[in-house]
Amino acid sequence: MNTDPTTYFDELSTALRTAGVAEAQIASTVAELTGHLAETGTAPEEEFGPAAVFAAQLGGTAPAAGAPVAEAETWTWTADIYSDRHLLAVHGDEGWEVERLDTLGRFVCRRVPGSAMRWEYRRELISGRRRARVLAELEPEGWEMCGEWVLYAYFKRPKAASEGPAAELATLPAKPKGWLYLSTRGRWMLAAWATLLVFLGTAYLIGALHMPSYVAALIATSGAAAAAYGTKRDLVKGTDDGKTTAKAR
Amino acid sequence: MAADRRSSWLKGVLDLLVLSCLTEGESYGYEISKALAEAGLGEIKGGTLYPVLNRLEEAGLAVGEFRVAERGPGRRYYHLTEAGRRHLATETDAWLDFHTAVKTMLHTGGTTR
Repeated sequence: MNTDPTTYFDELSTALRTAGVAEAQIASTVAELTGHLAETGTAPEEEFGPAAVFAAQLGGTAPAAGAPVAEAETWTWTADIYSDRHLLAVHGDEGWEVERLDTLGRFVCRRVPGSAMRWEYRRELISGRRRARVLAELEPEGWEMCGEWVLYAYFKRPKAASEGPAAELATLPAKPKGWLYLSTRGRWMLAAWATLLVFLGTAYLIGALHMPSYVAALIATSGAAAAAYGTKRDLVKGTDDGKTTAKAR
Repeated sequence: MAADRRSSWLKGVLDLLVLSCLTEGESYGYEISKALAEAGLGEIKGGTLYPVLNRLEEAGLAVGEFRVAERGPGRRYYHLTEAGRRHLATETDAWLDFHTAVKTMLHTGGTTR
């Protein structure tokens, strides 16, 4: 942890400068924060977090005073658990910041042209007692939870935290047209389950199954439970085949 | 866990709480964090507070003015703008409506004790 105010504020100033913050504003910010530390008696990183992350939150993404404010782009998309981490990395590098997961579990993202920065993401299991431990490990490193879905959560961090000025984003690729990304494994699982449902539904309708409807329902439910178990197992293993196979729908 | 919960709750209302610290007159970062802690809202670190103050200033809801001190580092004093005062009034009403809905829901759920 950085406990030397001089080193810390040098790093902070460099990060703010890289983000285009005016020198006068940097000087006044550093003076204000120095005053704050004088009163709290705390170490800079303990009080403000890592310098690069703090710079990004503080104003690194804010346009300079008087500059026209570009309208933020928004984009909502989703992926299965086999391709989500790869795609988050790809889209984070294109400046997309995940703000939250919506009620359908989709990533709600925004990007402001002119002040976009690269983001990095990670997915962690947070069920039960793991939650407090995961948060305690990740938050001091600048990771912020940006969405939670059943068993797992997504965390984001500006890449400036790990790469410094190299994380700057000069040009922005166009907003992707797709919104649904399924890996090969995800597509197979979906197709298998849909086929099972169609088969059971059709057989039931034409009376070919010669079995009570509750048996058919039991088979369908068992299929869903098996799929859920397999998904959880893959989440724990961190299976990811999205690098080569995820395609936008 | 309690701290995690409080930090999540604060996310939605911290801007308003900071604005409310300025209704009686100007204040500065450390004083605001102390006022919030004394109000029972927990310790708000500078890493959380200053980005909020920056956002409020960028939105025209507060104005900061840096003053050099005779001794030690200077301070940036913030005061509410007219737009900030209106925003605080409107959003406070909205927050209190939300708070009432949460309270009603929790009580209906049998947690009245």
